[in-house]
Amino acid sequence: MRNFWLVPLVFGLVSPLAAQELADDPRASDLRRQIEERFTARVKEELALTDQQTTRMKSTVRDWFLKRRGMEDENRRLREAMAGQLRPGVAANKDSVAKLTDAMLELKVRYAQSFKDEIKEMSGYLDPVQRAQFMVLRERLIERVREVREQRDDSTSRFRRRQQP
Amino acid sequence: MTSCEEMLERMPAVALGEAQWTKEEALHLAGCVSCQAEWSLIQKAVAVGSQAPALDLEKTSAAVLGRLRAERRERRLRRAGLLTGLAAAAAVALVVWSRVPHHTQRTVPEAFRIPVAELDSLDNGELESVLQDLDAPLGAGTLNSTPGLGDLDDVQLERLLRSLEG
Repeated sequence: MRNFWLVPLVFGLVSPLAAQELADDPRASDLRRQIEERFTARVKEELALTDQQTTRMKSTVRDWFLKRRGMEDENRRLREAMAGQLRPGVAANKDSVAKLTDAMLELKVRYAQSFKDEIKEMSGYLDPVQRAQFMVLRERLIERVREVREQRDDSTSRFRRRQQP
Repeated sequence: MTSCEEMLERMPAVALGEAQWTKEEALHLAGCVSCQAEWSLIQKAVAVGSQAPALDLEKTSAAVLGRLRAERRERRLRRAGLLTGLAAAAAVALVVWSRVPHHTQRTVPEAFRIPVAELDSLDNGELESVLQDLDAPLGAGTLNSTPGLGDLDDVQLERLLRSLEG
């Protein structure tokens, strides 16, 4: 998972409100749709999915998407809360920070477990090579998402340092 | 002089809007009870067909027309009454209709798209950046492992140092 969770944890850059704005932006929706469509086309092509496999995969990925979307929301809320606790010059509430830390670590485990469980579910209709191909393709996509998030976090932190006296 | 046979041949094209009745045909239709009944049946079959996109109008018309022709021949032979012929033709139309999928029963295949929850937090520029990198070959750069400090170049180390200081 690299430091995907760590950097936003420290800087708390994406607030729930900002995330909601991104979700409501029609251009962003269109881009997400394009990414998902191209990713899906790639998956279908690489895995050479049959109609039956496609139908079953549709159900699996939809279920796990909903679970992970919930985790993403939860993660944003926790990061926001943690950033509030760790503001410079403000004494942090130790109990709150401990609970937030536990919750973030627990969420991180659940997030990783979700991929394991999803792939396990796919073992009912995909062969090992297809599962590996899917895992590689999706891991690469998520890795790219992490990279652009990290770039954003990095440039925002530089901006914040420049703002400091 | 237009015959009932010629009228029957022309009915599907007119019903589908591909032709129009000539004056002579219109006069014949106005005065011929048998043609009126057949015309009404074909019109109904086409109207029903037009409500179902999966229904092939030409095939439906041809099926009804074929049955009407057969019925006409039979009628001539048996000298049967108009009602018998219409009943048979209507039955055929119903059979044809019942064999085609109805509009409400059509199942439009839902597009398969794998949703990615992680995209939700990206803005437009970031999404475009991800979109551009989607087509890399499968074997390239797969499953990056967590890098150690020794894997980073000078610029990356400086960036890391700055982030830790922040």
